[in-house]
Amino acid sequence: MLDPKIQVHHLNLFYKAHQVLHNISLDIYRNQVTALIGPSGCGKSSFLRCLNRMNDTIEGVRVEGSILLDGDNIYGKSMDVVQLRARVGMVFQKPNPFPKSIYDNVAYGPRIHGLFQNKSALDGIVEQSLERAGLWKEVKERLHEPGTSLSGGQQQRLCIARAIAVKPEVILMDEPCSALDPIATAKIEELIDELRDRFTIVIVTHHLQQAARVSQYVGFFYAGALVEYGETGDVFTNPRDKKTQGYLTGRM
Amino acid sequence: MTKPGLSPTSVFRPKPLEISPRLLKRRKLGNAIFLLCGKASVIFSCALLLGILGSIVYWSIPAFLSVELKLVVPVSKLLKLSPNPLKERTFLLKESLSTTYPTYEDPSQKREIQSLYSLLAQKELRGLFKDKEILKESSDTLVLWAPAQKDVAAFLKHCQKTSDVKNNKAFRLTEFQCQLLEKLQKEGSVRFRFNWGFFKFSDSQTPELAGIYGALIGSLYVLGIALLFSLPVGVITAIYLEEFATDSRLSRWIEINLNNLAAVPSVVFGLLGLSVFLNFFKLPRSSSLVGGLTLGLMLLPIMIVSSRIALRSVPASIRDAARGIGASSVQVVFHHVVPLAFPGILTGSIIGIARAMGESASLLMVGMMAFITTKPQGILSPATVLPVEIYQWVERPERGFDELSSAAILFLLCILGALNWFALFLKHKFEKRW
Repeated sequence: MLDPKIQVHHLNLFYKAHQVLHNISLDIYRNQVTALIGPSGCGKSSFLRCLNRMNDTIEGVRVEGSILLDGDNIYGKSMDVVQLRARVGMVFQKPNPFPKSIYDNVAYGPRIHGLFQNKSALDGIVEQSLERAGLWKEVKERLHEPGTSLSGGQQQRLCIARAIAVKPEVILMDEPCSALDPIATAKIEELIDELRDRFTIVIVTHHLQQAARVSQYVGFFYAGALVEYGETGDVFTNPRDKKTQGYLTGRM
Repeated sequence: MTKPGLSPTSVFRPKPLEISPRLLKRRKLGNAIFLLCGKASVIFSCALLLGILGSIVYWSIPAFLSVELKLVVPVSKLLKLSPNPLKERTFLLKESLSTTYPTYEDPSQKREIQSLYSLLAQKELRGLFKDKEILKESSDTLVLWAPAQKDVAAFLKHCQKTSDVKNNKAFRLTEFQCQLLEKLQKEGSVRFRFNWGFFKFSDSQTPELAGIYGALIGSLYVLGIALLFSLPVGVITAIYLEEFATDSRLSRWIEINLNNLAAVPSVVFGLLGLSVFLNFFKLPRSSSLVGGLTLGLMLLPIMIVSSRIALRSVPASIRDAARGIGASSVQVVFHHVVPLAFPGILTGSIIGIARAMGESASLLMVGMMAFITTKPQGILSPATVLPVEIYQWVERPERGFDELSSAAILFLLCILGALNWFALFLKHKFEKRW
C-alpha cells in the first residue's frame, strides 16, 4: 500500500548564496494526499516547486540532491522538463485561467501535447476533465465564454480541470484555497479527496484544519528544514517535535 | 476585578484631539493655495495649447480657399479662328480675355489683366480645347472659372481695398489692377472655392499650384519602410531580451544602452543614416528608402522599449499556468504572452509611427529636401515628406506659402491626433484586466 511515488533525497536549494532548503528527505506516497504546512517563508512552496522544476525559471537557483519520480531523477540529464511538467501538474495559489474560453483553457494542455486524434476526442477529454473537477454541470452551457468570467472558486476548479486534462501522475497544489471563500474552499477540499484515487496530490496550505481534513500525510517545514513528517493523524494528535507542537497550537 | 467605588462615568475616555485654530487655518490656506496654483497652471497650459492651435487654424484658413476669376471663352470664334490654337501658348487666354474685358484696349492694360490670372488658367484652357467635339455642341461662349494669380488671391483674401495696397508694397499689384478687382468683385466675377488642389497637387514654385499630395505619399513610403524594418526587428529583440535572455552583465549593458538610444536626438540618427546608407552603401540620396531606413533606426529603440513594457505587463501567473501544464518556453511566449501583449505592442508602435511622422531633422540630414513636383515614383526615387515640406514652405519668400505651411501643419497635427487617438482606442478595447 505504501508505495512511494516521489522520493526526495538530501535536497538542498540555493537562491544565489542564500540556502532556502536544508537537506530535505521524504517519500511522497502514491494516491495519497500529502500536505505541507509551516509558517510563511519556511520553504514549503519552494520545495513544492522543486517537484516539477518550476524553480528552474528563476535566475540564480541551484539544486543539490535528488528527486526521484518513479525512480527517475527529475534533475537528471535525460529528464525533459516539459514532459516532467506534463507528468507533474500544478495548481497555483491565485486562480489563473488563461484569458480564453473555458473550453480552450482545458483543451490547451492536450493540444500542445497532442493527446487526441480528432475533435470529438478532444471534446471528450474536456468534458471528462471538467466533470472530474466538479465543474461540468455549471459550465456545460457556456463552454465558449471566457474562463475569467467565472467566480473565484469556479476559476480554481477550472485550473484543476486544466491540470488533470493532460492526465498527470502527480498534482501539486500551492495554497489552492487561500483566495477563496469557505464554500468554494469546501468544494475544492471535497474535490481533492475525490481526485486522490487517480492522482498523487501534494498540497501546501496555511490552513491547519484543511491539512487535517484533506491529507493522509503531513510535513511540517520550519526555516527551510523538514521538522516532522508522518501520517496526518499522528502528527496532529501527537507531534514529536517541540516546534511542531508550538505551531499546531499557535504558540510559535 | 472591578473596584466597588468605581462608577461607570469615571471610565477612562480619551480627550478629543484639539488642534490649535492657527494650525488649522494655515493648513487650509496651504490647501487652497496649492489648489489655486494647480488650476492656474492647468488653465495656463490649456490656453497656450489652444492659442497655438487657434493661430495655426486661423493662419491656415486662407490656404483652404482658392480664388477664381470669371473668364468668358468665345468657343465658336476660337474654333473657327485657329486650326492650331496651341501654336502660341497664350493665344487662347488672350482671346478669352478680350471677350471677357472688351472695354480695355490699351496693350499695357491687357497685359495687366492677363497677369491677374494664374498660369493654371492657360493650362485649363488648353485642356478644354483638346477635345473639340464636345465644344462644338456647346453655345458660342462658355464661362470658365479660372484660378487667380497668387497676389490677386492674397489681395482678395486679405484686404480687398485699393487704398490698403497703396501703403503696402508687398502686393505686386498696380492701382489699375486693384480697381479692376474691386469692380469684378462687385459684379460677382470673383468666387471663392474650397482648395482641393491642396490635397491634389505636389510641391510647386507657385503657391496656388502647390499641395501636400506628393509629400503625403512620400511620408507613407518612408513610414512603410521604417515600419517594415523596425517593427519585426524591434518586437523580436524585445521578446528575446524580455523572455529568454539570462540576466547577465551583457544583457544589463544592452538594456541601459537601449534606453539611452531611445532618448538620443534624432539628428544623430540622421548622421548615422548619412554615413551608413549614403556614404557606405551608396544608396540614392533623398530617396524614401534611405529616409525610411534612417527613421527605422530611430524607431528601433522606441519599439524595443515599448514592446518590452507591454511584455512585462503580462502577469507572471499566466506564464506559470502555461509552464505548469508543460508548455515549453517558446510555447509560453507565443501562445500566451505575445497575444496578451499584442495590444500594448501595437499601441507603442502607433505612438512610434506618430513620432516618425513628424520627424524632420534626421531626414534633412539624409537630404530628403528635394524639390519634387510629383509624387515619388518608387522607393529609390527622390521624395519629400510632410514635415520637411512644411520646413521648406516656411522658408520661401513668396506670398501664399505662409498660409500653405500653416495648412500643412494643421493637416499633420490632425493625422498625429488621429494616430494617438487610435492608439488609445486600441489600448482601451483590448486591455485585459486580471
